[in-house]
Amino acid sequence: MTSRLKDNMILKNISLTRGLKTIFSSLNIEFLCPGLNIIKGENGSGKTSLLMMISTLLQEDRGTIIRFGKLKKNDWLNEHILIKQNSSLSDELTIEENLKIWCGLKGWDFNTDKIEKSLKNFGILKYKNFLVSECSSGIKKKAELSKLNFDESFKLKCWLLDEPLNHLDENGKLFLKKIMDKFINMNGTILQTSHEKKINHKNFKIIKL
Amino acid sequence: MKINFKNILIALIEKEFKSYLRSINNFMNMIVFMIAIILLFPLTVGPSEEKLTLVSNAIVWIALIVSIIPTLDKIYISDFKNGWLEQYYYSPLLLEIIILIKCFVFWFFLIIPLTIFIPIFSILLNIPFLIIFWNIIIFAIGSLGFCLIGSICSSLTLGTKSNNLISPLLILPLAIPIFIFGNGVIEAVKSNYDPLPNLYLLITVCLILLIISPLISAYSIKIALTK
Repeated sequence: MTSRLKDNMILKNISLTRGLKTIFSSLNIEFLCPGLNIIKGENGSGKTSLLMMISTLLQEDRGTIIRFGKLKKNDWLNEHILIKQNSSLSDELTIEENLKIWCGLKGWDFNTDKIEKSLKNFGILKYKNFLVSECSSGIKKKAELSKLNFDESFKLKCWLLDEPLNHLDENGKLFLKKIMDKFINMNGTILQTSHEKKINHKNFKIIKL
Repeated sequence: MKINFKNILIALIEKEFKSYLRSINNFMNMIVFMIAIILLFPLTVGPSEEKLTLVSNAIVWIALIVSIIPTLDKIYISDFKNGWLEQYYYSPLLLEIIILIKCFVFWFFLIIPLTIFIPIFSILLNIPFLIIFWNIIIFAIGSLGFCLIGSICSSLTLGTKSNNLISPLLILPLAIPIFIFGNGVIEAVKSNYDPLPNLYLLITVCLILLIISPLISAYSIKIALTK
């Protein structure tokens, strides 16, 4: 039982309120670990709040979240990535600088080759010296998702992706699927919110809110 | 996974430096504002040299403080809006240390260059050289205190919509000890007393702020992020 708990992510009897609105009450979920968990629900059903809560950005009012055998908070922060729906890139910096500094802040090595390789895979290498404020939403999204394509990202336990397919073109979607499959094959767990009906992955679980 | 803390420091300083360099207009605004106050004051006081000598030091100080305050409440707001504060939260380095580094970088790149203008404005207002020297020292130390107070106020007003109104109201009362001890040094120099006791008190206030400011700022940033 303990070894099973170590690899699992479980929400037990979770309640969450934001302001006066109750988002969840007595929510119980067992996520597929390793594997892809697709969180579906109507607008305002609390998909993003769920990811933020798992990522510790929101504090649950009641209940327990078991994150891979009760990882300590600091260890958990170093073991996952949250890619939010809105871009979290600084407008004053170029795409390359944003990614370089992001890697640095995580305590990872940052060299130009690594970042160029990641941008090239998403097909946005030519925009690397563009200021983020000059880029379209699609390019911003691809730059944001390039964070997942570093070697260190594949060594993490979990990716939390909030509507990653928004603004992406077909090539972007295909490449994202490729790296998601690679991460799952390396025993990674993905929690993804999505409105898409067609799911092209093999090993997945749908969670409806 | 191996975490390189040196990389975190380099990345943080690089980000702050590049952000300030690309938003140089903030710095220019401060200087233009300062010049406007210093040029307008003698015109409104009148041509009497006696009156001007009496208030000249105060004019330099007020010009410096008034031009700094509008930038103080913007320490975190752009990072908050574009999601970088969250990235700081996820960084393996403690948020308190990140905040301290941010304050130092803000002080070093935006406030310290302003000290260059103190001698220029002081000469315009006929302030003696000895007072100019002490003004530079007090401003260099006191402005670090202002940055740390600014950090508290900027982080406290992150979630509010009208932070422009609240910040000056929060900053000014907290900055009173710095005004009192800073002015105490100048008064002591003017009356040929020992300025060091007041200087030590000023340094003490800054050291206390150095400890409490990152703690309060980190706590209120965490609240702002999780709301």
